[in-house]
Amino acid sequence: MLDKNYRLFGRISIIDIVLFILLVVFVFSARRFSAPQSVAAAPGDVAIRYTLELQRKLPDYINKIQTDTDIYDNLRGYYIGRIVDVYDEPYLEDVPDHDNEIIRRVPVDGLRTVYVVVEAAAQITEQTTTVGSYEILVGKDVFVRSKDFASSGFVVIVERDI
Amino acid sequence: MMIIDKQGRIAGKVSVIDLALLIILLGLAAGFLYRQFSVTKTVQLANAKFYVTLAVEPVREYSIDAIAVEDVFYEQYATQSMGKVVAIDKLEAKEIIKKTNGEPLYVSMEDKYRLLITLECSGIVRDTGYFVNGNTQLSEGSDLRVQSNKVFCAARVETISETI
Repeated sequence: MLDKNYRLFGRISIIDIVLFILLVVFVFSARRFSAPQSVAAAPGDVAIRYTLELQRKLPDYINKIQTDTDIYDNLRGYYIGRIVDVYDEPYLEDVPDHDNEIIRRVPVDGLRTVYVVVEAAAQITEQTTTVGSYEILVGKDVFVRSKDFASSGFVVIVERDI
Repeated sequence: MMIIDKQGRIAGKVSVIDLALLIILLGLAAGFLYRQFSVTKTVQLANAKFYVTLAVEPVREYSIDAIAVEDVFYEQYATQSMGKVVAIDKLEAKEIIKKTNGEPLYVSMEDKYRLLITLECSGIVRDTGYFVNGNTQLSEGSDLRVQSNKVFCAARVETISETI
C-alpha cells in the first residue's frame, strides 16, 4: 500500500493526506467556535430623506444654500443626494444656570443652526444605510459641499420610504 | 549521502515543504488543544446568550427617535452583529459645573439625555469574560463605537449579565 517514498499506492504522499485532514479539522473548528453570523437584509434602492445640521453659522449663511442642487461628500467627492429644502433656527449653546443648578440650552444672538434636507436613493442593510458607499446614520459627522457651500455637520434625521 | 536531495526531499523520501507545513499545523493543533484542555479548566460556552447594557450620553431627541426595540447593533467596522435591542431607558443627562465659589455641582442638562440600551447578545462566555464577534471581548467600562442601520453613537458598556 505504501511505497518506499511513503506514497499511498505510489500516488499520494501520506504527509499530504495528513495535512489535508488537519486543514479540514481547523476549518471545522474555526466555524464551530466562532460567533454566529447575522442575517443581513437584502440591499436595495430605498428613497430616503435626511437632514444635516450645520451649527454656528452667521445669519446670512442660509442664503448660500440653493435647493434643487446636488450635494457631495467633501472628503472623497461622493454624490450623496439632492438638496430639497433648507431652513435655520437659533443656534443653542449649553450654558450653566447656577441659580437653578441646571445647564440650559440658550440661543446665541447672531448665530444660527442651518438644516439642509436632502433626498437620495439608499441601500439599507441590517448594519447600515448608505448612499453609494457613504453612510447616512443619525449621529454621524459629515463634511459636505455643493457648488455653493461647504461645511461640516451632523446627520440628525433620516426618513425612509418617503 | 545528502540529507536533502536536489528535489527537496529529506533522505530522498519526504518533501521539506510538506514536513515544514506538518510541523506548523501540529504546533497550531497543540496550541489549540492546550487552550481547550489546559490545567485551569477554562469553561467556555459557545453561542451563549447574555445581556449588555450600553450607556450613551449626552444625546438629543434626534438619536433617541432613531433607536427602537428589535434594532440590531454592530460595533463599527465589525462584520457580525453584537445583538438586538431588548430595552431602552431614557434618563436625564448630567454634567459638572462649578459655582462662583468653585464648588462643583453635578446638574441636569436641558434637552439632553442619558440613554441606556440593553442588547441581547449571542457570543462566547469564558471564565475570562464575554466575547462577541468571535474574539471581541466586552467588559464593563469598555468604550465602543456602535451603530444600527439608523444611528451611530459612542457608547460605554455599563453592565453585562446573563439575565435581563
